[in-house]
Amino acid sequence: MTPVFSDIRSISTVAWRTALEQIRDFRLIAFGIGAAAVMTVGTFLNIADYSKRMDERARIATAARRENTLEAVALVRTPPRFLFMSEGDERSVPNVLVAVPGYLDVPHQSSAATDLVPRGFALDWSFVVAYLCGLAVLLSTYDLTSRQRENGTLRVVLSYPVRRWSILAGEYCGALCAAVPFIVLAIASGLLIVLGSGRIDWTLSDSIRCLAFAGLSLAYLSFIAAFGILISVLFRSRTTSLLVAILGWIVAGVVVPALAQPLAHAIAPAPTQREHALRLEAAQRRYGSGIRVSSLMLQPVERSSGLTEAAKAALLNRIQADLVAQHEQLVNAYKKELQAIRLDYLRKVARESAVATRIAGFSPVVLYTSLAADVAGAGAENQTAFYRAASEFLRPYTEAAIALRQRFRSAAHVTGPWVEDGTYKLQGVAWVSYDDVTFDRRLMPSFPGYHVPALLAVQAAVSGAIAFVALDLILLLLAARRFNRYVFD
Amino acid sequence: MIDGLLAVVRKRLQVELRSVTWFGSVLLLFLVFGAAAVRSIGLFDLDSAAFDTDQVKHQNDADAVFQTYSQLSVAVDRQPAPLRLLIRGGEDAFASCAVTGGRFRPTSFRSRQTAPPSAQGAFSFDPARVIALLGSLTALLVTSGTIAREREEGTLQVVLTYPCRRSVVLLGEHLAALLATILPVIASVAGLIAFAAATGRIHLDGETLGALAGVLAMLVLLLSAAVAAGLFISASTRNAATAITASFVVWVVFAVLSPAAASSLVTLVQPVDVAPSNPASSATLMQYSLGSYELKHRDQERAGREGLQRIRQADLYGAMTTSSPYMLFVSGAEAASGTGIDAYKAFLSRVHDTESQFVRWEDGMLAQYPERATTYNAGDFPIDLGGIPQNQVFVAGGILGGGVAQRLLMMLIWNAALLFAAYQRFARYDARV
Repeated sequence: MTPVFSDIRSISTVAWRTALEQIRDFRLIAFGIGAAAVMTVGTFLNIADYSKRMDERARIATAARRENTLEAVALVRTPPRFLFMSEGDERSVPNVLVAVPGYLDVPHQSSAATDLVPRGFALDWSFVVAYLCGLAVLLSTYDLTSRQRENGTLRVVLSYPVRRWSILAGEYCGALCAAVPFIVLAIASGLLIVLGSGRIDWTLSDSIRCLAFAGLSLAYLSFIAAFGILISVLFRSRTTSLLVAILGWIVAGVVVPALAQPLAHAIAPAPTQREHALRLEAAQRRYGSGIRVSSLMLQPVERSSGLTEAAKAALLNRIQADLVAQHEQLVNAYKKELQAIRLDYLRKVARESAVATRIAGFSPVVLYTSLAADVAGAGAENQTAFYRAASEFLRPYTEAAIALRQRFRSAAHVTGPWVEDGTYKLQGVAWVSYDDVTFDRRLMPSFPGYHVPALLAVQAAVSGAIAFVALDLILLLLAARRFNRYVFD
Repeated sequence: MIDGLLAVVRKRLQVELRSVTWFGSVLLLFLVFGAAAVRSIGLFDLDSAAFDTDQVKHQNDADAVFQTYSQLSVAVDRQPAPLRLLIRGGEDAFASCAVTGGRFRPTSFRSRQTAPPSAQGAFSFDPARVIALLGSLTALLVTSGTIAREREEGTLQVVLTYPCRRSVVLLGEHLAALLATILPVIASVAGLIAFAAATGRIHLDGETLGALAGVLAMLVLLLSAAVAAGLFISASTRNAATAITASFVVWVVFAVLSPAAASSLVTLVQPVDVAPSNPASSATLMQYSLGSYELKHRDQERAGREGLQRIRQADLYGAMTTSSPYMLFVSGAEAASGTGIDAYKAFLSRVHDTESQFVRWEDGMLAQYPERATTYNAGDFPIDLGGIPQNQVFVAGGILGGGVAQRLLMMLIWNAALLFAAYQRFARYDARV
């Protein structure tokens, strides 16, 4: 028998024994079934939530379609279909973008109608796997070797003619195999609810997403198993390794994400919504104070007494045209400034959240949940796809809107200050509004919507799986080094 | 008996304060509490500044010269509660001010919008939440190992031979563990409050101290419940590792899972019919005249219904908080500090009163000067502002009543039940190894 073959044999024997022992362990059974139950309830709640969101979206979209004017168009985002798999950034991404000829605006929240109920964790699949299944695997592996050591069986096991590292590898494989049925059970119970609800038309790409999710989850749980084995080898008493396991879970799952936000805010502070609103108001005031129409402007017409009435009218027209041109320039400058303020705000907010994601990514739990959000199509990719589609829509929209504005110029509603002196009248333009212009809405291009390609899900899953397997190898190597030097006192 | 109790407490405290578990948990608590406190102080300052500018703005509006009655409005500003430093509650969700336009314009609510978008996620804990989460975890981990470990090591057999009742031993263990967890917790809270008082952020007057006492009472009862739960688990299991595992699971269920489940359930049971004008962004949409249609028509009514549904949702969530001591603590501390839904409801009823007062005043004035409702001619004298309702500041004080007492009572019931269960298990405990 070649040594490699014997290694494989001993690994598979140990794996088989460990898997049997693990599957009978009440911790794994209780947690596995508990996770499946939470997954079922969570999926049910999320599916109900999804239909509510779709109704809300339909209502906003109808209202927006009815009210699209030559002034602006509201673009409504479609909520990702796989919200039950991962909420991602769903609750912080705006539902509506406003397309104004020339640029996109992101509405900021300012009404008081926010949720009064505190925002908890969403009970989606990624939460259940990251926190509950992760805990199940961690709590069933933290004492794999220390338990045998306390029982005294380790002495016997180590006397067998097999290499120590192959025992460790066998235990790792066994623990992972024991976890697989429970993950399958959890995902299957969730899927049953999804398919049974009939709310989601299942396609091939959805199956791909599900497979990608399962693969990524398995890679994540293998990392947790490797971590459990490492601490079971590192410490001599079960209680110590248990406490270290709990500490690890709390730090990775709660402390790191909680610290990431204030840290990111300190590194790349984004202005608050209020500061943003104040900047906008200040710009508005500056612009308002720039518009001037006074009776002094009428003086050249009155003073030039030698002119005929027709010449006076021509002079007045020229002054009036100059005034309008000046004010339109002012309005354009104001719009540009608004755009700059908004873009600056968005850039800073995006930067802060990117820094926060990067900091939180040090925790494997957060790394997994953010990758799962990408797999579900609810992560940053979804947001980017919406913005990309909106920017692509912007060009034809701008062209159409400007052309239509030229056509309906006479119907536009012009507001502004004016002065009157005798028969002479001057008007400045504070705003040209196309709000009330009626036109055929079919002349305006319609927003085609967008979708996040399933390939991105596979990409995220594969890159995540590679990262987790690499981390596994490092942890297992550390554990093997330690296990090779294990001595009994 | 007292001597016996004191001896148990002293010896137990000595053991616990030297344990690595206690030390590690406390270190973690201080670290996270510090981060939460820094964030909370930043938000506190932003709130105060926002409140000041809002008030100045509303005063300027009131002092301006108006020609018609339809241009008038009265504002009610909600003063941010001083103890939001400790627990923010709904401070970011609640409206910060209401401007009522009487007969001519609907009352508009505005939120303070001070929290940066990043600080509104599920992981943004305020200092009181950090303490409740990590403090109760420490209490559970410290106590769940005690009885089971003594049994494993065999010392329990010796302890139970002493001329001391089992109930006294249990009570001593309870008090010692409670002291061990409450010390770092009180130290961190006191540190934060002392810092805020020293820098002039809060004034320690009777009201603030009363609110603080309410929060601390809830905190002590929460930790005591956690200790009792730990003892119950410890007395129900035969080895320390199982006891610690079980208590950790209990913590996950009550502090992590049940709040998540409650928020999800509430939105399902009591859904909110979002007014079409309010896709969470009505201001910008209105600016572009989008979404204005519904508001122009019957939306006022719908917006009112939406607000009512949101309050009903919050009430339902409040009822659900009794199912978990952690959630009960959060809602009790919010009620005591004036950052909870109770205070907000009081604010809304004040707004309502102001609104009807203003409408009555307007009606009186319009009966006298009917032509000045909306029209103004050059040469008209300024409108008569005699007896107009003034701008108001709503201070969420004096609510240390029903809400807090009720939640304290619920917390006491949790404590009594858990302690009784622990005693029942311990009285029949078989100490043989």
